[in-house]
Amino acid sequence: MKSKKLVLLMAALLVSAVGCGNPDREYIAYEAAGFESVQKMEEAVLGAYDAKYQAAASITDATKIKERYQKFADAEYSLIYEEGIIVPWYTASGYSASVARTVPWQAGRSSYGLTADKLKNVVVTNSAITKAQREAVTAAYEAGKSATPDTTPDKDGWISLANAGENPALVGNKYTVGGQEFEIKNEFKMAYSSEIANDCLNYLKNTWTYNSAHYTNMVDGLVENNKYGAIVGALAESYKISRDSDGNQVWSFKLRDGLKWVDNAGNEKGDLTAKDFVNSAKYVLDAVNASGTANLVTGFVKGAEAYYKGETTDFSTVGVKASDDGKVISYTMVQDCPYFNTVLTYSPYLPVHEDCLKEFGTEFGATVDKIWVCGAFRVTKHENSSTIVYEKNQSYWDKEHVYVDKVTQKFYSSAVATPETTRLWYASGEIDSFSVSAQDEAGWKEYVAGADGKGTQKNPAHNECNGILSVGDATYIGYFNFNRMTYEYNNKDYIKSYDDKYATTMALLNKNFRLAFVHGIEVEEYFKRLSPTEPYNYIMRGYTNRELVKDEAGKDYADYVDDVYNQKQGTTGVTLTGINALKDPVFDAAKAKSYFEAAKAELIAAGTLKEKDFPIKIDIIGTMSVSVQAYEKAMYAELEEAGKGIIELQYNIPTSDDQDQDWGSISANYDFSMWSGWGPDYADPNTFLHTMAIDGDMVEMLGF
Amino acid sequence: MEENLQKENNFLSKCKSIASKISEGWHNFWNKPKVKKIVKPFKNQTFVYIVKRVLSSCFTLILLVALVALLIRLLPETKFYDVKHYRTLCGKDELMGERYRWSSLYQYGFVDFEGNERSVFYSMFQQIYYILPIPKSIEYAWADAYCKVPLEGAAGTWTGLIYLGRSVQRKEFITDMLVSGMGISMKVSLITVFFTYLISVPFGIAMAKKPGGIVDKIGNIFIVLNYAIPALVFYLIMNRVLGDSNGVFGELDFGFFYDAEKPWSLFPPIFCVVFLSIPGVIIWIRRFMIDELSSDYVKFARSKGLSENRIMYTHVLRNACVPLVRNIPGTLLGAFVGSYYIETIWTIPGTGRLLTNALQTFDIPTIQGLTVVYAAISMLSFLLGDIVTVFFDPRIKITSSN
Amino acid sequence: MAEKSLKNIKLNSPATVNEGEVIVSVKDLEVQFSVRNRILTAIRKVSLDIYKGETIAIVGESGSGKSVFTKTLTGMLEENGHISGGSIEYAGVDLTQFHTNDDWCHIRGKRIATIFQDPMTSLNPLRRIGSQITEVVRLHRGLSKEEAKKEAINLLKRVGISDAERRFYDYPFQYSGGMRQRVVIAIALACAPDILICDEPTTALDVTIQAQILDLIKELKKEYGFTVIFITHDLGVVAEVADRVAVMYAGQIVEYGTVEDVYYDPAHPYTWALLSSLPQLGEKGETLYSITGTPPSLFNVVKGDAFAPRNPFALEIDFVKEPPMFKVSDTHYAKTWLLDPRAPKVERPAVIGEISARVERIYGGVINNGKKG
Repeated sequence: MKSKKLVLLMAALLVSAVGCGNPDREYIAYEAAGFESVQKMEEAVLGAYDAKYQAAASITDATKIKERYQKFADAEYSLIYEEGIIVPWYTASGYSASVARTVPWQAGRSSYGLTADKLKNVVVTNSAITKAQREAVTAAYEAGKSATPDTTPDKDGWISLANAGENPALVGNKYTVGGQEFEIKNEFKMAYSSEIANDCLNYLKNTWTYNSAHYTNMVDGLVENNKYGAIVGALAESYKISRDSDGNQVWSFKLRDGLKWVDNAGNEKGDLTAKDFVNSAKYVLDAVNASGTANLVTGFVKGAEAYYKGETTDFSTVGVKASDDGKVISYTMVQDCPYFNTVLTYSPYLPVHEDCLKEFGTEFGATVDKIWVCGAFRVTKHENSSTIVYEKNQSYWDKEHVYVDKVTQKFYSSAVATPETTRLWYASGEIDSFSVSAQDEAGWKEYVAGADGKGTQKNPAHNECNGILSVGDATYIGYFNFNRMTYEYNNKDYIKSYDDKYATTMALLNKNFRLAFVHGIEVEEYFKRLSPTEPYNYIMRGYTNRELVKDEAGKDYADYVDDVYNQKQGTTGVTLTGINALKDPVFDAAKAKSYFEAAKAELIAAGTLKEKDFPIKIDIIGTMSVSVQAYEKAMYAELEEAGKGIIELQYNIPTSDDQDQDWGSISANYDFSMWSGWGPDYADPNTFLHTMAIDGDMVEMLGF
Repeated sequence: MEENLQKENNFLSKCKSIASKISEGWHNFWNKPKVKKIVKPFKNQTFVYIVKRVLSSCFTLILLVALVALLIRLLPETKFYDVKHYRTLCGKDELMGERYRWSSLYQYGFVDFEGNERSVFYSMFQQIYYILPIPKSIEYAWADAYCKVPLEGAAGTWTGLIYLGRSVQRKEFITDMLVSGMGISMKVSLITVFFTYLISVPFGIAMAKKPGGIVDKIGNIFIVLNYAIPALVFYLIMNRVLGDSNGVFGELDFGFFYDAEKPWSLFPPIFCVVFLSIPGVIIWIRRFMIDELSSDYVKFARSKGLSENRIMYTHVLRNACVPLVRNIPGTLLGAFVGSYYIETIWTIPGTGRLLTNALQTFDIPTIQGLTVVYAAISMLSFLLGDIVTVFFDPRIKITSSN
Repeated sequence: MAEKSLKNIKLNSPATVNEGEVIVSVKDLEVQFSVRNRILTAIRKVSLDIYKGETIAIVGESGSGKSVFTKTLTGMLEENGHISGGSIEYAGVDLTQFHTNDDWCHIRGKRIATIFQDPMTSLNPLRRIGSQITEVVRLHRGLSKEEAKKEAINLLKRVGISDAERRFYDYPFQYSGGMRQRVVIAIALACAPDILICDEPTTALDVTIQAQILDLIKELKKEYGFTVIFITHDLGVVAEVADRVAVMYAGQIVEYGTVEDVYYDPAHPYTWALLSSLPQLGEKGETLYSITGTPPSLFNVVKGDAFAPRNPFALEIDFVKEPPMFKVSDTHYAKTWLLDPRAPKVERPAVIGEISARVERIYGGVINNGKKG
C-alpha cells in the first residue's frame, strides 16, 4: 500500500515536472485556445465579419451599386467597431512640405496599384521648382483634366486605351509644360530606406512595397494610370468586354506590336506575347509558389480558385486564355465586375516569359539579374544596403516618355539618419527631392514656418517649398496576432512563459479587449511628430480611403460608412475619413477603460483566466528610431493608463532594419502591431474589405 | 640436421643480400641529383615549419567547420523554412508542403531529395567536403514548384572549388558576396593602416625621445582626448561636416556617401578611422621605444659616439619594430571584419556588415560560411605574424625542436 | 639652448701629447646627482693626472664613485647628474663644458672609447656584429662600405676571433660572453682611440676567459699605444694589468701611485684593509680579514675623513678635518692624517708587510705586466 502510494506520488511529480515545469515546451496558440486547427480559430474570430462581407460582395449587379456599397459599409463598420479586429489610424494624406527638383504633376497618379512608384515620367530639373512654376504647371494640369478619351468601339468592338493626358516629348534637353520651360537633367537621384529582401524581385510572389517599388519599374502590366488617375493602356492598346457561351463576362485586351523582353543587361531575350500572361497566372495559382497575391486572381478569374485549391490540375479550366496569334489575352470573370481593369495594375497580372521561368526556376527574381525586363528601366546595379541603379531600357515601348537615362538610389539607414539628413542630402545634390520633416527644426524654420513663423505645410513660406497634397492611398491599421508563432526578444531579461502566452491569446480572443484598443490609442500624439501644428491631418478612422469610388449619384463610398457610424454610435456629422472639428472622433479613454474592465470580467467569469494572469503582456514592435520613440510612448500612454493592471505593453525594439522588417512582416513577432497597412489595388471597397475576410489577403498578419 | 642448418644459412644469407640490395637501392634513389633537388626545400627548416603550421591550421579549420555544422544541426528545423507557408501548404496538400520543407532542408544536408533524414555526421562531412578545394558542383536551385529535381545545367548548379554556402537573405553565394565586397574593404583597410602608421610612427618616436618633455605631454593629452571621443558620434559628426557641399569643406566635394566614381569620397571615412586608430599605435610605439631606450646596448651605442638620431632610427626603432610588425598582417586582414559603422554611415558596399546583418536576420548559411572564412583569416594572420617576426628578429629561429 | 653647439670645437690631435706626458688632467672635480629633491655628491673634489700610454687602474668598493668618475670623461652621466665643479682638461679643451650628446660625438668612440661591464647586453641583439663595427668605422673614419667591411674583419681577427669573414655576418646571440666582449673590444678599437676606458670588463666573465681578455687588452695596448683606464674592484686583476693604481673611497681618491708603491708600501688604512681582504693573499687556516661597517651616505656633507668611522687606526682629527694629499714619493700620494709628521707611529697590519713575499709565492713574482717587480 505504502509503496504504491509512493510510486503514484513519484509518477505524479514526474508528470507534472515534465508537463508544467518545462518553460520551453512549444506553444501552439490555436491548440492552447482549444481549436482543432488554425482554420477553426480563424472562423471563430472572423466569422461574424465574414458573413456580412459575403453578403455585400455577392451583389455584383451593376445596377445595384448603392445596395452593394450599403452592405459593404455595414461590414466595414462591424469589422472595426463591433468586432474590433483592426484599429485604423493613419493615412498619409494631408499636405507635406516638399522641396524638389522634379516637375510636378507629370507622373501617373493613383491610390491603388503600383503606378505610384513608377519613375518613368519623372522629369528632373537643374534647380528647385518655385511656387510660380508650380502654379503654372498646376493650372495646365487642371485644364487638361477635362480631356476625356474616346470610348467609341472600333469595327471589331475594341475600345482604345490611348492616353488623353499624354506628357509632351523632350526637345533637346528642354521640357515645356504650362508655358514653363525647364532645363532638365537626365539622372534622377533619390534615397530608399527599405532594402530589397527575400525573393526580391519575384513579382508574382511578392506583396511588399519595398520590392514592388522596384519591379514596377522593370515590368509593365496591361494597363497603368495616367496623371489624372484614369486607366490607360501600357502593354495593351485596346480592350473589349463580351460574354462567353455560358454568359460569363469576358475581358479581352489587344497587345501592342513589337513588344520585347530584355535581360537586365539590355540584351533582347524574346517577344512579349499574350501567352506570357497565361504563364504568370499559372505561376500565381500554383500553390507551391506561395504567391502572396493569389487572392487577386482567385477572387476574380473563373476557375482560378478551384485550381489554386488543388481541386483540379487542368489549367485549361481557368479563365485565362491567349489567342493563337499571341495578340489577345482574355480573362473570364467569376461574376460581373465593372472595375476589373483597375485590378490589372497589380503584380499577379504582370506577364512573365516561359523561357525566363525555365531558365531561373525557383531562382526567378532572386537577384536583379534573374528577371527579364519589359518596363522602363533595367536594374543594373544592386549593392546591398548601399546603392541601386536603374538604366533606361532602350527597347521600351514608351521610351520617348521616359525622361531620365539613369536613376541612382542611395540607401538611407534609419538607424543613423536624423530628421535633417534628407534636407542636407538635397542641399548637397545627393538627392533631388525631399519633404521637410517636422522634427527638423532648422529645416522647418527655413522652409515651412519662415521668418515670421506663419507658414504651414499647406502654404510653406519658402519660395522653393510647395505644399503637396498626397493621394492618401494606404490606410495604416493596428491588428492583433491571434495565432502567434514567433517569440523573439532582444531584451534577454524578458521572458514570456507558457502561461503568459496563453493569457495573451485568450485575452485577444475577447471582443471587448480588442475594442478597448480601438478606442484607447491616442493617435494624435503620434501625428504631432509629422506636424506639430496640424496633427489631425493624418487621422484615418475608417478602412477604405476616400475618393476611391463614388456611386452613380456621386456619393463617395466613405460617406456610406460615416452614415452607418453615426447611426450606430448615435452621433451626428462625424466623418471617419476627414477632418472632424480638428480632433479624433474615436479616441475615448473612458470608453477604453470600460471595455477593458468588461473584458477582464468576462474572462474571469468564464473561468478562462484567473486574477493572477493579469496584467496581460502585450508585445509591440517598438520603433528603432530614437526620435520617434517619445511619440510612440505618448500614443500608448492613455491606453496603458486605461488598462492599468489589465494590460502591460512590452516594447520589443529590433536592432536593425532587416530585423524590423522580418519581425513585422515575415515572422510576425508581435501581439499587436500598428506598422502595416493596406493600399487599394483597384477601385472598389472590396479591395480593402477582402483583406480581412476568411482567407483574405492580410489575415497572415493576424496569424492565420 | 646439418642439411636444415645449411638451408637456414642459405636462406639467411639470401635475405641478407636482398636486404642490402634494397637499402642500397633506397640510398641510391635518395642520392639521385634530381631527387635531391626536389627534396632540398623540404630540408629547409622554415619551409617545413610553414608547411606544418598550414597543415595544422587546415586541420583546425576542418574541426571548426564540423563543429559549426553540428551546432546548426542541433537547431530546431523550423528555423530553416517558413513555418506559416509550410502549414498553409500542408493544409492544401500534404505532399506539396513536405516537398517545400524538403527543398529548404536539403541545402543544409538535413534531408536528401526524397526527404529521408540524414545523420548529423552526414551534415558535418558534407560541410567539410564543401570547403575542401576540390572541384565540385552543387545544386542549389529547383525548377519551378519544388517538386521537380534541381535544375540541371548551369542555371541551378554551382561549380567551383570552395563552396561556402548561399545567403538566404540575399540569395547570393557567400563567395560572391565576399569577393565583391572585399575589394573596397581591403582598399580602405590598406590605406587606413598605411596612414595610421605613417602618422603615428614619427609622432611616437618624438614622444619617446624625451619622456615627460613638451612633445610627450602634448601627445598624451591628444591621446586621452582622442580616446574619450565615442566612435559613432565622431563618425556622424564628420559625415555631416565633411560631406556637406555647402559647408566648409564643400569645395572638396566629398559628399555624404561613398561614390564609386568619386574615389576621393573615401577620404572622410578613412580620415575618421585613421584619426581614431592613431592613439593606439602611438602608445605601443612609445612604449616599445622607451623600453629599448633604457637598454644597455643603447648606452654602448652612445658611447661609441653615435648621434641620438642615428641611435633612434637604426638601433631603437629597428628593435621596436619587431613586436610591432607582428600585428600588421592581422590588422590588414582584419579588413574583412571591417567596420560596421563606417560602412553603414557612408554606405560603402564592403564586407564589414555581412556578419552582423547575417546574425540579426538569422541567415544561417551566411553565418556558417563567414565563420569559416573569418577563422581561416585569423589563423592566416597568426601564421603571417609569426613568419614576419621570424624575418625581423634573428634570435627567433625555427629549429626542429620547436 | 642658447649656447652654440660645441660640435665643431677644435680638439688637439693625439700626436700633440707624447708618451709619458699628461693626457688627461682632472682638477677638483665635483659631481652631484639630484635624487628625489636631495643632492647626492658622488665625486668630492677629485684631482688626478693620467699619462699617455699608461694603464691606470681605479679601484674601490661598489659605490665609491669609480664608474661615475670615468663617465664624466665621456659625458655619459645619467640624466639627473651634473658636474658641479672642477675641470677636465683633455686635448686642449675642458670637457666639463660639453653638455649635449651632440657636443660629445667627436670625442666618444673616436678619441675616448669605453668597454662596459656586461657584454651580453652591450651589443644590439638584432643586428649583425659586422654592421655594429662598420657603423662606428664609417661614422668616425668616413670609410666606404667595402673598406669598412675589410677593416671590421681585420679588427675581428685582431681580437682573436677566428674565421672572421664568416663571423662578420653573425648575430650576437650566437656567441658566448667572452666572444662578445672581444667584439666589444673590436668596436672600441675601431677608430684607434686615444684612451680606452674599461669599466669592469671581466667581472661578468669566468676566470679563464678573464685571463684571455686581459691578455688581449695588454697586447692591443702594446700594438695601438692607447692609454687604458681600468676600473675594477678586483685587486688581483689590477696586479695583472695596471701600471698605476688609484684607490677611491666615498667619492674621493684616497691613495694613488705605481702598482709597487701601492701593493708593497700602502699608506692609507683603507688600502691596508683592501689588501688584507684579498682572498688570493690569504693563507690557509687564517681568518680572512674583512672591513666592518658600510660607506657613508653621500647625501650629507662629510665631516673630516670619510673612512674614519670604519678605520681602526683613526685619529681624533680624522673625525674633524679632512686630510690633504700627503706625498709619500714622487709617484705615490695618500690622503691620510697618518702621514702627517705630527701623527703617532702606527703599526701596519702584519699581512701588508708580507704581501710582497706572498705575491712572490702566489704569482711567482709576476706583477705589473709581467715586469718582474
